[in-house]
Amino acid sequence: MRKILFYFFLLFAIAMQAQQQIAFSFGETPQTLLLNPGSETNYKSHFGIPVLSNFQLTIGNTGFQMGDLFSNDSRPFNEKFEKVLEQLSPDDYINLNTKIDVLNFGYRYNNKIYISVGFYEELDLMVYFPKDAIEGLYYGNDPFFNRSFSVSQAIMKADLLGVLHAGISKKIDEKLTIGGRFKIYSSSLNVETNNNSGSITTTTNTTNISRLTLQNLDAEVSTSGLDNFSLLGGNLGVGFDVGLTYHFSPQIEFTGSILDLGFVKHSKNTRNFTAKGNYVLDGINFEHPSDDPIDYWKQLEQDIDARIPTEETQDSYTSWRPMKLNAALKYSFGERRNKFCYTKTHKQYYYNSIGFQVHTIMRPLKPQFSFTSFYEKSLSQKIHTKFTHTINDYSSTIFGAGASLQLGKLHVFGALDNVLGVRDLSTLNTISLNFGLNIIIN
Amino acid sequence: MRFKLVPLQIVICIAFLVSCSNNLNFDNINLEIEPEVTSPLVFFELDQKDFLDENDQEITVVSDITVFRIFDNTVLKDNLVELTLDFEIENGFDRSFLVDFVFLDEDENITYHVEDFSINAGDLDYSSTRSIVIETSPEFLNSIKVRVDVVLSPSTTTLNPDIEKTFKFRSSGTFYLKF
Repeated sequence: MRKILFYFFLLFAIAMQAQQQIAFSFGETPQTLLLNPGSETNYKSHFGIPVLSNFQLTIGNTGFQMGDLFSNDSRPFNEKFEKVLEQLSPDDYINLNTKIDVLNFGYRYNNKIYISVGFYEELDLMVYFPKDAIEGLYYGNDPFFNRSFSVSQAIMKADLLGVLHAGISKKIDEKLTIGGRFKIYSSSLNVETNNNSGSITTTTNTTNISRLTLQNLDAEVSTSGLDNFSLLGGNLGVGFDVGLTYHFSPQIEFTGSILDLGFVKHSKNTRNFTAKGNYVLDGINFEHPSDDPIDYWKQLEQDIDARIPTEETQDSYTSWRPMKLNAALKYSFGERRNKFCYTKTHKQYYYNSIGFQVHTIMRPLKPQFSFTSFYEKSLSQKIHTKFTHTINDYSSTIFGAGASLQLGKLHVFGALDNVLGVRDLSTLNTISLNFGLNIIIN
Repeated sequence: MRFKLVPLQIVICIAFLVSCSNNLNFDNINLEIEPEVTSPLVFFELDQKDFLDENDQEITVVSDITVFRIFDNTVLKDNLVELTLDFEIENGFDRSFLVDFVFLDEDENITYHVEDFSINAGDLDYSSTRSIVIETSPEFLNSIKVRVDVVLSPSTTTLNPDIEKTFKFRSSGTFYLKF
């Protein structure tokens, strides 16, 4: 079993990329259940405060820092913009993700089984910088003779959806807890484009002074919910989460999860746009007819329409959810305490722990990795803190802090990632916030 | 093993409280976008037969015209600052020519007349660049057609349709936009 888990962890560590999530494997909070349905729960039930039970916001871009564009100096804004544009790569992206728990509650069925259900809204926007298109719009094509502007850099995915979920975690023995969560997605809005191809090139030529060549264009944008937008859009999908917690020893714990392994079938309010073809534009060739004049402009429009057919359809399509993979290995040490859990049970825990996490989100171009090392410190039985250092696409100096606090039955959780970025906004290119209020009954 | 956590907590609290944004300035966001867009325009090739009628009499002016609806695009129309026109002409004739490049509105009134080009006989490498500045020629934005007149200059040298000689005309426009 240990060997299997070790390889499981290695698989995560090698194959995936990540996003920092301080809440993962932290403090046995209800939020943790959404990140790992196999996490251990040591309470009888929990009730999320509606809308406030879990709020999560992550904004980041890998292309530039705030100071690159908005530094308080005498350089013209255009100069800063051009410098940023020069540094951008087509792999750079902007990501916005936010989740709001509308309803969330859980109940212990017996000593071994904990059931949790809820509903949350999620907005996820992922846009890669189409560097060629931005440069083309900013500078035009005149400074770039013989350069191919790629259409394939146009990659984006936007999702707004509600998620109804029900999960179960089961304690197999003292070492192992496993869990799963079934999800029904209801998409309100989806816009995505990926796997486009084609290029636009301006060249000199003998037929005319310049030539515009559109080569192998094959582009598609799929949308649903643009017309008749509603929060319960009716485009449904299913997915599931799985996860586990395993104690190699009382002090060494492994947690791992796979989230959002699922899809949404978009069949209502869909509008899809496609364009395919090749075209070479040399201009208008005057033929000097002796009789009736030729309508060259109409000919040109008809020729373009024939060679680059565009189509709008209302076909159904399937959108895969961005799957997430999380794994953490934690070593606990220091003072050992007994914790009173649900009826007549106790759990032993340590006041300190250190560990390493890997988080990954599957994105259209490539997985998004984060590697996080962390230190957890329990200040008392009711106050727990976690400090993290994360390396990912955004930065290698992302420091985060989180705390969970129990005030009677009220459990408060808060976390901020990229403390240095908040301290010095000029270096800020990513920020992640997490906040939650829940009633926990032991 | 216990870590001294207090200093770390203090550092983080200070970080939250002493968030400094005074090294950023959001008042100076004034991005001027000035793309330069090049597009081929009109091209053609004429031979000696094109300047002779069925009775082998010389035709003085050979013209053609096209609709040119680029200003239907209001983005282009509202933001055009200048248009630079590049011309390249190869005159293989033993005769000289004048070329008129004329922009017209819907009713074929002239909106802009590019100054005549005078092409000498046998000039195979003629090139010229002309600029239309919108501020001084705003009526150019009403253009909807473009006409090119090739005027055969009078000469004692007569045209011979049996000898292959060509007149090649090429043109390209660079649109200077400002947003």
